[in-house]
Amino acid sequence: MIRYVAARLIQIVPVLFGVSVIVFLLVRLIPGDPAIAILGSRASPELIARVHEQYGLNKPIWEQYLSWVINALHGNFGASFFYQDEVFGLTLERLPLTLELLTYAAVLGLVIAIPFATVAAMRRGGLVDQLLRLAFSASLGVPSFWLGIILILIFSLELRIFPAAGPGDGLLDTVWHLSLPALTIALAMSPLLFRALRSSLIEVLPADYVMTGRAAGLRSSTLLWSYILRNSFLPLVTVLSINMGWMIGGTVVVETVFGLPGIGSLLINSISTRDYTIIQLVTLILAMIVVLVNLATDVLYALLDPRVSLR
Amino acid sequence: MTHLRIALPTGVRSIWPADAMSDVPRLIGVVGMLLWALAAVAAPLITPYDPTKLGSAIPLLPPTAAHIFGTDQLGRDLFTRVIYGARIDLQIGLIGVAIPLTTGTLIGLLAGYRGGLLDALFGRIVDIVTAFPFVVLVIAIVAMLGPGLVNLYIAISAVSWVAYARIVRGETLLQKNREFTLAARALGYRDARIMLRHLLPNVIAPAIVFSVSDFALDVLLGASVGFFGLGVQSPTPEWGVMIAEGRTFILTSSWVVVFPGLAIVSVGFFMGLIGDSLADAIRRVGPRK
Repeated sequence: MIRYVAARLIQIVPVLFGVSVIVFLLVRLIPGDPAIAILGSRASPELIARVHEQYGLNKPIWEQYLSWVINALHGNFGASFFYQDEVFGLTLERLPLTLELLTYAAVLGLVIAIPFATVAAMRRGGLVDQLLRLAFSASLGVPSFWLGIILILIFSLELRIFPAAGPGDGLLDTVWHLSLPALTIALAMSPLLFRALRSSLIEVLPADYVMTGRAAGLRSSTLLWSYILRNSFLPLVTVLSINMGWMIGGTVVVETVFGLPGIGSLLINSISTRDYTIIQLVTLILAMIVVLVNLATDVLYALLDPRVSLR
Repeated sequence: MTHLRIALPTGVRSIWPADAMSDVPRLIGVVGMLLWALAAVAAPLITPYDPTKLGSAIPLLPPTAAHIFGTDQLGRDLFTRVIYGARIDLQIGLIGVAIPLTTGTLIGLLAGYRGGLLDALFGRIVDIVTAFPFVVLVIAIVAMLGPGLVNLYIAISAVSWVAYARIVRGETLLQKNREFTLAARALGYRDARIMLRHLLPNVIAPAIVFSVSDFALDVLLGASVGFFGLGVQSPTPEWGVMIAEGRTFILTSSWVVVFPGLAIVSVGFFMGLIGDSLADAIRRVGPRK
């Protein structure tokens, strides 16, 4: 068990290294002089020199990378010219809202997918199953930015049930404000969750313990909740973690549509303000979230299912 | 090559079996996409209006017989813009699939066939690229390169080959020790010939199936990038840009946002139908040993 976790941790090191290299190199994609891209062509030579200094553009590239990593490990990503503030604190401040939104969306996604997947798996091949599969695969192509706007139109502007924008204050108000954004992400995610959950349930349903439970006269609801879904819990967590990247992509879009001050909308806003360091930092943080969630899932898996670490 | 197809019913041909036309969902999907392709190609024949000319009608006119989708905030016929928009959005799907499908397939074939250090290196790169949320990495790359379609294609090509390479590599590992590959090797064929003429037709099917849903995802991505102002620039009609610009008028003139969105949804729907049916077809052939 400990060896498994240790091995898993060691595996992460080259990934983190690679991620940091890609994030570092992103700024290199800017055509021409990044300093001019940030400041505009009429910037004074002193200002340009200051930007060169901040990005370390006047040193050899491996030296630039090293000093970038060392600074990054100290939480020093430089300052934003637009926000006139230090980038790291500014970004970190917005992280909790994004994490709250992701969690809320994951829960809602499961709440939507579990009942439909259960029904579809139990009536496998039947009309209901076919219709559900059709509906979910059709909704895979629904753009979340559009869905968000339509939900705002229906639930905020017409029915006035949920607020159209902003993060809210305090726990209940935040939950209320995040409901529509989380629902948007959850709906966009639900086809993937539905599909994976349905097939994992189909695998479980013919299992011996289900047969035994049935033969012992357990009610099918007891069997479903206490045995089948419980055994499908691990695949469920895996499905969520595999699709973490998609959920995060959805968050970026949805935060922007709903005017939520998370790091997703920060990423988009930083594009027009040419805050390349913020774009780098947010990309780095979001990739780290994916890596850490995958790690946590694997460790959880090993903790709950002893067969995994024996492999 | 015929003998190969008989020996291996899992090649390209298996995803389009003889009874394809009896598969109703797939038929709906294919007809739907053909209609979109036709609309994109023959746009000027379908609609009499100009997609970009300003003020030819009253702005924000609700749908009527003359303007079946209504007009937008600048008095342009919305139906015309949606039809012309297909040119850009379907192009994003096509190019966004064609480049990664080609590069990813070749890389996956090479990594799977050669194995060893090359395959190990490939594995590391895959781990790194998949650590990034796809949409975020594409947006970050476009943000650095600057807005525009070409930069979007560069970004998609840089990121999404990984998915294809992974699929093809897995298939190659399964097929490279089968009799036909061993026979080709025994005949002394060069590696390039074995990979391209013998392995490729037998490993590409799952990649093609994936490319169908990938097409829909690229259209989605292209529209999202357009929505953020990073793709095609106004006044060129593109569905994402149309939604972004129509947003302000949603309360009084919802059609400005609803119709371009439905266009995206319909492409996803049709491609989804085709993709599901192709995936089923591959599965029906059974697992390959």
